[in-house]
Amino acid sequence: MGTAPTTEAAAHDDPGSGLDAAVRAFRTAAWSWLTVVTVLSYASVERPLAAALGVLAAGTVTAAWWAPGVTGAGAAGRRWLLATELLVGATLVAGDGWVFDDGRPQSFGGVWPLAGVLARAVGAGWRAGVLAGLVLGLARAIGEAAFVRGEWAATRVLAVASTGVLFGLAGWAAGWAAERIRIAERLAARSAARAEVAAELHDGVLQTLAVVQRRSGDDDLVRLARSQEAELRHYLAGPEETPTGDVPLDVLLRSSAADAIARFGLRVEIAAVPPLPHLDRERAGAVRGGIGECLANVAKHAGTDRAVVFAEAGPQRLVVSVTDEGTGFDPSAVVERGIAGSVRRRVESVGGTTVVGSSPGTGTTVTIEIPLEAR
Amino acid sequence: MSSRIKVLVADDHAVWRSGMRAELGEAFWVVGEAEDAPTAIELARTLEPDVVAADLRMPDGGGLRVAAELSDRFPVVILTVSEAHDDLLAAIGAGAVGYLVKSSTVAEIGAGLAAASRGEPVFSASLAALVLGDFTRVATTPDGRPVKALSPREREVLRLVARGSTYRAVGKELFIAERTVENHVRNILEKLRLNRRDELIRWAAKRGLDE
Repeated sequence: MGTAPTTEAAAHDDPGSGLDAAVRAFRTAAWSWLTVVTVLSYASVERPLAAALGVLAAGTVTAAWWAPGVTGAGAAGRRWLLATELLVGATLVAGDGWVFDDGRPQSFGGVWPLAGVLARAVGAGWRAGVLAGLVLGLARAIGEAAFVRGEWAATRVLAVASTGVLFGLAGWAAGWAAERIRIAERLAARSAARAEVAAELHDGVLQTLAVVQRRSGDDDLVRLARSQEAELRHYLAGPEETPTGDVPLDVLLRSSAADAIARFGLRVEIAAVPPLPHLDRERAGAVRGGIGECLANVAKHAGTDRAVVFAEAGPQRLVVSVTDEGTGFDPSAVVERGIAGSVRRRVESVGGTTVVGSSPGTGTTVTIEIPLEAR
Repeated sequence: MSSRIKVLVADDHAVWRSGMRAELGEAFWVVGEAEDAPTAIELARTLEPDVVAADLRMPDGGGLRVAAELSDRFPVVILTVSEAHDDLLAAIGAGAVGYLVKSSTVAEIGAGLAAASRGEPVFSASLAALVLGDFTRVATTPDGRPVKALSPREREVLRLVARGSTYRAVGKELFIAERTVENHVRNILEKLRLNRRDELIRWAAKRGLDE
């Protein structure tokens, strides 16, 4: 079989010992069934030696997966085993008509070759799974052409094609599910690590950072401590990545604040009214960009190092505002540049509005409103 | 001497307690230090401070217990690095007059403690936001008991404070005196406390724990 799948699992994390174990259990059960069926249907076996060799080869591969050291991703043995498994699986599928006469109760390989497809899909993603499935489909077609006499009626063509489709679909489904599980596992692991940091460490670290900010006369050190505190809070707030791709608003606010604190040395207070929604990518981008722009403007023009980011969401709309008590300006006198222009553009792209309230001496509030119902 | 504000500092971090003593300056007098809630409660009763500055997280009950035991007699300000909103709101609900984030400047902490010693609420934007959220949560409690809701004006005040306005700016915006804004804030805190107490009673009743 020269058409071994080419995508490799090198970039993947550990594919989850749970998934490997599941495929291994499936493979073992499938092999047992293959053996039982072959023995029971001995009467229709035309070539007993080939049948025995096939069962033995499948059994050897099955047993090899139980050996220690093959399940780790990137283990050299794993690749060979995957390739061998697919080769043996394809051979069983192709050799079906040669080993059995026409009275066979099931195809020779039974469901065992599917294990190779699943292992590929779990290890290297759905594309590799589909490819492995198609390899088996091709093997079936070759086997039919070579060993089974008779007309190529439409039903027979369909049956042969079905094999490829079924194996391919199984590969796709397994790969897709494995990807999902892997994401969930990763998020769960991060969340566990975060909980541990939160429980064991963060109180002490935050105390220290707070003391540094208040007792050090060194401005750079104070800024650094402030920035580190913001980063830690952002980390503790939870992951930006969720399985659905939505961004939790509180996490977004913290990352925007952490960014402004690190870049400008601002002191940013987050006043968020719970409960806060999750935002889809476009809205999250608009809010993030809008807040970032506002905070940059506070740092550059307001003459203060303090800003409050406020957020409140109802079922239909989200209100976010950035307020400073700096110098302020007369909005009617200032041309629509910088502050309103770029914020407005981002916000309007998701159907929202921007209002700038300011007057000399009382500071500035930029309010962003974004509709939340599905567009 | 007598014009200095007497502060009791309750914090399990020694570096923080000594920092407060060193930094608060001439206007304050740190009359005592405690490293857990029971000590703080005991010390407050003998030292009679003007204000108690208690860390949210301490052994044996933390700021929540300090507020619950002492807020009848002394203004309690929660000092915290924590973002644990539930604990914070519980402490406010138990009678604390507000909270200060530990990374605030010395001037801000000083101003907050001074305000608290005069019985004024110490209300940051983030606390206003949390309180606003808490009223929404309580109002939607499904068992139908009436709750102390915010008046439209109180809600307006709270939202402006949450957006980062000072009492003065809020007053200007709403055409009311700064003093009136402060009264609104005090009433809001009182309602929060009553709601929290009600909630506790209902919670206890549901489990058959009340007398």
